[in-house]
Amino acid sequence: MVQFRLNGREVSVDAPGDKPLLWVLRENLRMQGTKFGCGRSLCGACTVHVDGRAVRSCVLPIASIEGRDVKTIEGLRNEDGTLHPLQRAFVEEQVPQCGYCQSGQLMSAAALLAENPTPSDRQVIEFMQGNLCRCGTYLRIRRAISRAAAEMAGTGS
Amino acid sequence: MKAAPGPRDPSRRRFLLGTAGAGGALMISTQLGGCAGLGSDPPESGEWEADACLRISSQGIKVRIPHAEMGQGIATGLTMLVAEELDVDLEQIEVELAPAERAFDHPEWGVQLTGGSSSMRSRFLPLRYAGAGARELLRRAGAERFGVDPSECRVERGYVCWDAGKRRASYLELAEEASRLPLPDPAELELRPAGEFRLLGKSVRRIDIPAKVDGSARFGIDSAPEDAAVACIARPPRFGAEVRSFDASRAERVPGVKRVVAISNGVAVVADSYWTALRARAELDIEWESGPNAGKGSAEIQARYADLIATPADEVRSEGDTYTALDQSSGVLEATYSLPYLAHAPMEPMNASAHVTPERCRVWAPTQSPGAARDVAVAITGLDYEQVSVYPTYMGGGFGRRSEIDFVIEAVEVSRAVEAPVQVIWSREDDLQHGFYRPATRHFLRAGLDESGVPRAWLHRIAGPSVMERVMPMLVSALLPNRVPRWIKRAASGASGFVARRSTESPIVEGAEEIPYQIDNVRIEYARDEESFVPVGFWRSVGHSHNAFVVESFVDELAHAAGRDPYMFRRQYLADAPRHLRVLDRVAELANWQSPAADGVHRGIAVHASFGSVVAMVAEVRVTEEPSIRVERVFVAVDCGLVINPDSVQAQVESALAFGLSSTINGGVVEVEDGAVTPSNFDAYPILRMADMPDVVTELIASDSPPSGVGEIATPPIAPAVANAVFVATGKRLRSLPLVLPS
Repeated sequence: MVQFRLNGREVSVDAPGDKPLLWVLRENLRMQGTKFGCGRSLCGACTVHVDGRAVRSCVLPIASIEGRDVKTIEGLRNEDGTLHPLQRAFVEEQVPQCGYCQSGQLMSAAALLAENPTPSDRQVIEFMQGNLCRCGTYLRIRRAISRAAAEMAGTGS
Repeated sequence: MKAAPGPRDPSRRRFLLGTAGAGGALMISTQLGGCAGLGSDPPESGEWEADACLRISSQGIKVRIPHAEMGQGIATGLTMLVAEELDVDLEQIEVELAPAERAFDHPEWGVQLTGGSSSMRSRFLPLRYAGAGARELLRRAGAERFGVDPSECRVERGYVCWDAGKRRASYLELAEEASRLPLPDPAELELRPAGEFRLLGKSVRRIDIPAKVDGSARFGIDSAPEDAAVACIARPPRFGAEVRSFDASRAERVPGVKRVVAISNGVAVVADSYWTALRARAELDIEWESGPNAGKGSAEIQARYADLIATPADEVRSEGDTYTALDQSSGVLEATYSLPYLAHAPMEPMNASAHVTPERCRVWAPTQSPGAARDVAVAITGLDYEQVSVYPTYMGGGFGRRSEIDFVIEAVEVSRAVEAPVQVIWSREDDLQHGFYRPATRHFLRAGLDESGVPRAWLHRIAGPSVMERVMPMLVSALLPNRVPRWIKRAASGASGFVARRSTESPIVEGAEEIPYQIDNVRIEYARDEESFVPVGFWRSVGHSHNAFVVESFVDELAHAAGRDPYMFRRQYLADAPRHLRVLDRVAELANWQSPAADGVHRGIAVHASFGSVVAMVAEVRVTEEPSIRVERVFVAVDCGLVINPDSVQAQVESALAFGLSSTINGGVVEVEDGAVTPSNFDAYPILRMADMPDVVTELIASDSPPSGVGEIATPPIAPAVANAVFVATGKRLRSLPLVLPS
């Protein structure tokens, strides 16, 4: 039995210790917003936050999550239930196409802005380089990150 | 391209329309035959007549989308058509993806399929007439309620208004009454004139995006029944290999494994979770027949192509007398181009769910081919057509890969074998190594120029496998021996339309055959590789993806050989191609072609028509020390007919360009060794990353022509535009993809 915090709630899961967090989320906890893309930490579709840092959940054994704080796309909203500025910006810029990689893109971008509220273009690209998008929404992702960063700076949040 | 029927054109009759009044709802279908009689009770909700695409009731307005929504925005675009004619806001319509039904067959191909950048083009009139038909019925219902002649009533934003009597009633109030009225004569329906469009041509927000930013959008992988088991399948380690024998005892001992079953293409491990099934699959002990392709690989395939293009091949098109003209030309230019196999690599690995019982088969799949999926499920289960349902889901990229039905076959076979709901999930390795690849091809070109550099003869010889030869068995019967009666019937009617169309416009030569330049002697030849064993399929823009690179690179070679500016050279020979000329001129203006580029930046230009549209690009490229190729900015001019949702078209231009660029610079190649694909994940098959995405400046040319293709059209021209810029930068003509500069 592994216990951890998921989007602010305590959860406990009975799963083999080597089962990746991704599949624990998707199968044991039926949280399917986090996506499977490669299984080897090569595409970023499965990105979630563990203790505030962006990690690839497809290679993270659940045993290593004991007692830690996990946030997924389902928990990205603000505490009052409104969309995170990045989510709003992704709508404003009409970023997603097929949408499959977007949970991972959003979670990476959120970790970036939490760590660096005013990233330069180069810093955005460096941070987001591990998140693949086969639909090629990269330009719009960059625009949306700038928009959200500006909004977050403006509101001081 | 067919023109839109005029206001009194009787051919509109074929669009219209059935109505039905079930449960107080007005329903409209767009296939002749009406709503009744075509088939199954829609099993989940029961609220739809099987063939209806539009439903208006006191509860609201609903539209069902007959095409795959894979990010191209078609659900929004098609809903806009209905909303425009109904005169309601997009937000007033609830949108669902249509299940597999004959009523949703592609109007031209006779099978329910999303491909060929044809969804908007083929549904543009039918769905508008559906909206117009409903609007007219509602207007009459309103008039009846007000006790006046329908001519005294008009519609506005979801209401029928009788201005003289200062009364109005909403569509929802009137739906039940409207559902009891006789169908209006289709010839009396007026579509809204283009000048009065409220929605069409304006950028609207895509209706699928909110669910794609909060994790709630359900893709195929999220759509299994709650109690479904998960299966991973051990497929042949080499194309054409088959299972000789297997021992499942170790796999069956893995905790959580439920069953191990043989299916037609391998061995399936069925377990309580993907993780379990994946690990247990590694414990399978399978002895495979070595099959006919042991030892065969990419090098041998290209060598065979080289032999094939060394001598004249089958004539695809011939104008004038090319061979004689080449002999008489004062200058002859020759070149050989080669292109690799490519994988689709959509972000969502293949998957499908099925639940087969003795009375029923249900399939949930991220598929571009719900029609073929339903037929194949009928064939496998032996159930009646009406007992089989296929529910398409959102999909994490299609690009042509999901027009195949291999993953549906697997899910149905496994569920049938274990008599339980099952979801088949592929690993990324499965996806890259068991795909249907963009064909590798090799091209021989020879052009004759006269003394003043004018091209007089053009010979283009293409070697490669036939995509149609591979796909036709899927569309007919050979893939599924012993169990295909309905499919064969379909081949005679519906699917054959698709097959015939694609055969005559053989994908391998598309984009080469219709070279737009004025040259007196043109000869296109195709040498089919009869020994091809690598499964090939439709890959975003299909034959255009290789032929645009070859044609537009070689035209550039001719321009430079003639000492001419590549833009001016092209435009001189495009007098018969006004749409090409227009986008070419426009992109040259956008890119400021006539002025020098910034220091260290070099430009390349290309123009290509595909799927009824024409796209021109100028790529701005910098070649760095390593050496590596950086594409910094691309200007794009697009003529895709009437633009429905401009922002969506812009997004598709960025997307298709990125897809093409991915195989142009730093991209993965599907190498084949010993009869199998070698790259297995994104480390060995890289796709475009954020750092390599150029700025894209797109202009959509205003047009009154009916809408033409959008989703694929920006893939073909990017490779030649970049290659042509690299030539300017380095003096090196790179004739294979991906572009690699010698260090």
